[in-house]
Amino acid sequence: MDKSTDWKKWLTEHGPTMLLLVRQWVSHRADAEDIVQEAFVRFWKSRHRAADPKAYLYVCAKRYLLEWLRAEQRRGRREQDKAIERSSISTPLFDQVVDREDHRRLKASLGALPTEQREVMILRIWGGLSFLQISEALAIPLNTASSRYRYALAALRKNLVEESIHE
Amino acid sequence: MNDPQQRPLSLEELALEAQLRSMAPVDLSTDAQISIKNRLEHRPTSFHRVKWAAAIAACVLIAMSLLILQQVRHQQPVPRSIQPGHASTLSVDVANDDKQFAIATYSNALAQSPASLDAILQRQSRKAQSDEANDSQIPRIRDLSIANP
Repeated sequence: MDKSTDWKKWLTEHGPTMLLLVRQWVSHRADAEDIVQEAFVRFWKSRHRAADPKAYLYVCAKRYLLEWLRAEQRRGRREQDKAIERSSISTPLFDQVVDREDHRRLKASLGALPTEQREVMILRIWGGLSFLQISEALAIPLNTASSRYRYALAALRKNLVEESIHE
Repeated sequence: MNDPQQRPLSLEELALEAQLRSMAPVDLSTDAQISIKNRLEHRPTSFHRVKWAAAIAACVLIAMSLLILQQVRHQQPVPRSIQPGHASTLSVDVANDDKQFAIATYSNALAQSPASLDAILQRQSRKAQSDEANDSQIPRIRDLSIANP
């Protein structure tokens, strides 16, 4: 049984990944943080219902993100967001304590991936979710989750190789 | 068919995974963390509970008094209606114009409250009684004729 303060452990472990996931769709950091906040609170209050709390955390994140996007669309701000979505990857998504060249190239390649592949990659690499959990969190078939990850890795490798050849 | 899902990860892909893992996503801001803490650790204090109980009790009291007031209003007798030309309504003779004026006055008084109508009617009644009393003090012709044959 979770103790009442265990949420801190969950937030420390998954907060950054949730934020990274949400920021694939929402360019403004403050908006993304609001979404993470609401999704996390919803998750914590209803986590007992979930068979797999880790997958459920990201289900809550994705669900609330979609709710938020729909509300924004109604408010007419979605178009504005779409326009800057592509540039959102240039705003810091990762800690820049160690600003290495290979990291810079990786980030650029990551930003060039299709959003659905990026989502799977984020959940797998930084969320530490299994493909089964990813399929549950994103409501996609298990094979789709797995193949998206493979394609993402292949695309990243290809981008990095091409870049190194150009240099 | 070369399905990437079916084959195991290559060494390069494993290295790429490790490289990706070495990048740490930015953490939530302190404000967001504090906000989550406030939302998850906030418990209603006894003061809040008392405040809510008082508010609910006040609402119940207001609802009950409104209900009682409504019932009292329904139990009150129907106010007397004033019909123009009804003999018992006016104890004094008035001309047609005066009658209309008096009816309008009564209607206004009734619209204000039954009590003010009652007050006007009582005043009229007292006035009529005092007029009668004055009349009774005037010696009647018959009496005068007896006194002065």
